[in-house]
Amino acid sequence: VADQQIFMGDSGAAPLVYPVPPAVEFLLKAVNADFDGSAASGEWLPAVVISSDSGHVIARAVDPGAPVAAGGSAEASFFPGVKRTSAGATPTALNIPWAVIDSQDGEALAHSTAATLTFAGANFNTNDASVYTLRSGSPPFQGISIHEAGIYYVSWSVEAITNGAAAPVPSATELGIAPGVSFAGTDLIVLDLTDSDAYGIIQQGSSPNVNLWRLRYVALVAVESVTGERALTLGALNKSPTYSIPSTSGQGLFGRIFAMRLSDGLASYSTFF
Amino acid sequence: VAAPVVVSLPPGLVLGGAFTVAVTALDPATGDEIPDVIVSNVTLEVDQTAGSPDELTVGPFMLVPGPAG
Repeated sequence: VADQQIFMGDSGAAPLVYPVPPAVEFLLKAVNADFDGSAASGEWLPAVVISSDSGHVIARAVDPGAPVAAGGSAEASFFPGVKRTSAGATPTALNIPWAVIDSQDGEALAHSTAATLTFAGANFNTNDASVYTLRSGSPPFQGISIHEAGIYYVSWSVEAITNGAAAPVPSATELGIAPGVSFAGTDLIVLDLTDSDAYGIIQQGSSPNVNLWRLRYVALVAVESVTGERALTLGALNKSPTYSIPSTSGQGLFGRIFAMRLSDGLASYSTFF
Repeated sequence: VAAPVVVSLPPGLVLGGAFTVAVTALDPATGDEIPDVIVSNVTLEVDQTAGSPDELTVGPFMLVPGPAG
């Protein structure tokens, strides 16, 4: 048993054939060759074709998954045990339907008149109108209507800046999505990360007396059916949110509702936990 | 620089006299050989089990001597 290396430095049109001499036997361990395909008009595959003494092909060592382009060249190695790794599927952009609606007061958080949180259609946006639409009604009643079942990540927040007396802390019953109001039946809030007590005081008790109030809610909602209305609103349905700020210069009020559909069915919602 | 390509050979295949090893290029669609492709610098690494090393030389195929002792 001895390893030997056989080499041919000449070049020639494919195929170049090595005939095994009559008295010789060997185990073919590896083959390497240069391929010049500059004259090839189409794709081609480097190959080693092994034929028996009867002239029948025993094996064609070729990888259909690795063609060389027309006019291309390659150096090819052939040896046992090669496993081509999958190139993998071409990544595709996630197409997660989402919608957001902002209060008409915008993010400037500055006005000098009394304000009640409302939503305006001009601030509604979605990437999939088949899943979400602006909830109809005059601005105080607006929200996000949901038209497809599934698991939804929903969040909503209210922020307020007051200048002067401390603003009242909104309660969870004033701001929130109440099952049986916006959702119904067997819809389920499967994860409620309501943080109704969250607020921060930037500066209080000195001049200027500025307070920042922030309420944040996060939930996963399983919408089983869209028969009837399913909507995300702040406050009770068909009522404007009760949170308001007094008329004092330098105040502002801002609200936002956001929804993102994580799955198109309910069977897999347990995978989120 | 030529693109590197790696292809699997059948393992444990012992070739005897009058067998042939053809280094070639095939059409992906038909399997036909493509003579427009020029092959050069062919190297075969073998584990010889019968015959003498000198017999491996055939035509332009030469036995590569081992390292100088």
